[in-house]
Amino acid sequence: MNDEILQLRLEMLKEDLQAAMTIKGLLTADLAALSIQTRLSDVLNDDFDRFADKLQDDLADELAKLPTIDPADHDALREAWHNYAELRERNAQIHREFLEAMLGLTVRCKNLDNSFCALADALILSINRLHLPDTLAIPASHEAGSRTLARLVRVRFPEWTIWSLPLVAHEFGHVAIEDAKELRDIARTIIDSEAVADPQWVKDPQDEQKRKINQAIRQRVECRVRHFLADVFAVFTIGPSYPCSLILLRLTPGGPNSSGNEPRDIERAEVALEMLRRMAEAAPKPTGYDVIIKTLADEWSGMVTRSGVAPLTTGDEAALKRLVGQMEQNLKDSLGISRYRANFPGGGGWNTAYGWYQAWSAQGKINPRKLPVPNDITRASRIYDALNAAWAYRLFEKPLSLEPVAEATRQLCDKIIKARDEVASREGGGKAGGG
Amino acid sequence: MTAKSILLTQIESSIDDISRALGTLESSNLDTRLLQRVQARFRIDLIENQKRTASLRDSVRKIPDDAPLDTAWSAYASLKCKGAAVLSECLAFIEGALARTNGIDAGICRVADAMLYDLSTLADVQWPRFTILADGEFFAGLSGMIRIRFSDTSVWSLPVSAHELGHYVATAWNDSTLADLITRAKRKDTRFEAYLNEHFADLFATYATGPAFAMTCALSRFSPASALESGKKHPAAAHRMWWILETLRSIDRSTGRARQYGDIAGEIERLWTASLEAAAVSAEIDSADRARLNEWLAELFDVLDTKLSNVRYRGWARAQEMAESFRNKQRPVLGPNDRIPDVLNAAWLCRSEAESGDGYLVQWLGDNAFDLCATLAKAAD
Repeated sequence: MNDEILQLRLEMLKEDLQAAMTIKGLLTADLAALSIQTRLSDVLNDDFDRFADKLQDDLADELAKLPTIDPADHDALREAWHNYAELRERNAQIHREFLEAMLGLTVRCKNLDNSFCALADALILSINRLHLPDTLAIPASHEAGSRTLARLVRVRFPEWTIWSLPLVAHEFGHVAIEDAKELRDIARTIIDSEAVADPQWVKDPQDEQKRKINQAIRQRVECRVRHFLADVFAVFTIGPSYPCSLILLRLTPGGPNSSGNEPRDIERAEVALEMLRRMAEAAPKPTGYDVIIKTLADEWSGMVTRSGVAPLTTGDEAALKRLVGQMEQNLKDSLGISRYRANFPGGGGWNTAYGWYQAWSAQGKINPRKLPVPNDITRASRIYDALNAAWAYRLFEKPLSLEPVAEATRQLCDKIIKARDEVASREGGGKAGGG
Repeated sequence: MTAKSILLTQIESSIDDISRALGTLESSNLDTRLLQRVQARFRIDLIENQKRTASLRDSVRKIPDDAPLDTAWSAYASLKCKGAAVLSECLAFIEGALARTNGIDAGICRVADAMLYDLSTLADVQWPRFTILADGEFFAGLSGMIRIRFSDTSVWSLPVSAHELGHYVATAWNDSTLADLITRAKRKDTRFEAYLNEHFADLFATYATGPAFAMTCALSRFSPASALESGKKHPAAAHRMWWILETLRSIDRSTGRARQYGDIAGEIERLWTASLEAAAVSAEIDSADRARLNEWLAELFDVLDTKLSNVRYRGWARAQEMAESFRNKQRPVLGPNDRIPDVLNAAWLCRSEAESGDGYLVQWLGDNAFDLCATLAKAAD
């Protein structure tokens, strides 16, 4: 005898999943409408297929098992209900994420975001030196702070400006930490050592309560390490614009306000600044880094002091600096990718960004209301250089109005994307979308 | 730059963000009909938040360079939190409206709107908003929009939207019985406030849509395995199921029609109890809980039946006629007095009788019920 309600529930879940298969068709259509490259469309479809197929198989297994369960076997029935609850949650997760993708894409299709998400896609493509599968930027109420089923990078509504664009690098960092084995291993190694070093860690847990203590510690440490690693990754790949956006626009002295596992904002500020300090030690020394670091550090510490928040202890600071050093070294050693630097072999880098800033600075003294869009755009030009140039102008020139430099930067970014698209088109690869 | 520069930068950024959001709401790409129903709410809340943030900015500018900033940060954090809630609803509206226009909801939102407008009119508690897709059902007090579950763009879960409307009715109708009951109850247990709100919404949904809501909950929503577990915001599923079935019996007692819902309530209870027993969960509710639920239900049912009797579901006989058509594999012919809850009850009645695994019948029922509901929704427009 079947449990009638359980049977009905499993069948409804099956219908639900089948209904969700239509999402794929709509998703593909929207992606095509946005001229988002086929590769990304395939990635999203593959993600969906993988999870949906597995769920379908597991659902079929549960349905097949149901008639064989002895009605007197309460344990088996409880387990069947437990399995159903798990299947339902997995089903809900698929739907949740693909609904997000669908809704985000409709906003993009109607250009309600003024192509900001396309800019975010281009930035991610340019920093994806690991050649990870593509991601898709969508509007959201808040960032995910972790990789999700589909490779979605959430861009907070309505913070759609070039000043907040660098923050996308942190979101992509979370995706990269999950997708790149090397980054995953880096994270795991650090999490293991940090968890064991926690003063409350139980060395050899003998009972469930002690195992739960260790589990809670590990979850907290994992959340912190992932955030720090994503911050380090962001500075490492795009340079000074990330700590500028993070510290001046996002972090608050007492944040975050939750009692969750996230690191404190004053810790993240220290991590981002420390990473930038290390990059400032490169030879040759990048012009202007010291000024940026000093400005951010002075601003931040002055603000923390005046906000009544307890600053980091010397010990905490030292521990964070060590962590950043370890992460930076791991990134350099394991990944073999170069960090943001003065000059990249193919072109671009801080010197390019600084050159653009200097041109704006010169023009700004003549007519601060209209800044020129640089002409020296090549296929090697990168969005992150434009963002670094913008922040350099903002911090060094302290303009009365940010609109001229924001407008010039936006146009510069559009030009960079167009240059890359033209090259890609000539090479027959379709729209590259990168920059 | 001074130590308050970061605070001022973030305040200015927030002000700009709100302007951007207001601009997005002016887009001609958004469904005008839906926009008109909610635009004023968003504009009022966003502009108020923007003005308060601008006022804070002016205050911060006047703070001496060496003065503490903790109060200012605290004030900013509070404003930002309130603003974030409105912006979140704003984005949900933008996406939800576009999803409806693009047909991602397969038309279910329009059907849900029609049913809920009908119920709110009968209750004389006008609900001025609409439904949008989300990953789960809920009523957003801030905007008044009701979310319905994505991917379940079929009729089976529609009764749940009546539960969400019940949350709106609880805030909007001109009666303090629920509020007074909550005040008394939460002295004993602070969770009782949330529980009573849920129970009221269940009461309203059952009262307004009949057995369809009970069947949706018992057969597709509540989990027997965790039926006795109470959460922070939701009472135990077993308590809710008791409450819903007892509401049907209360309607019978109130109307003097002893067997109107007696049989169907008994059948739903049989299925639910069988699932509880199969999952080795006791079907008996603790006597103290039962006494409490009895007392609450008596008080709330009485006031609902007195003040909102107009909204009571009266189509059970018609639903049974429709169900007979469905059993004969025929689509019922709609009459001038037919309503969406009639179709839902008919469909659920047939579905509950169907053999497990008869996917074709279920599909046929669902599709035809949806078409009928869509026809009724269109007629109501």
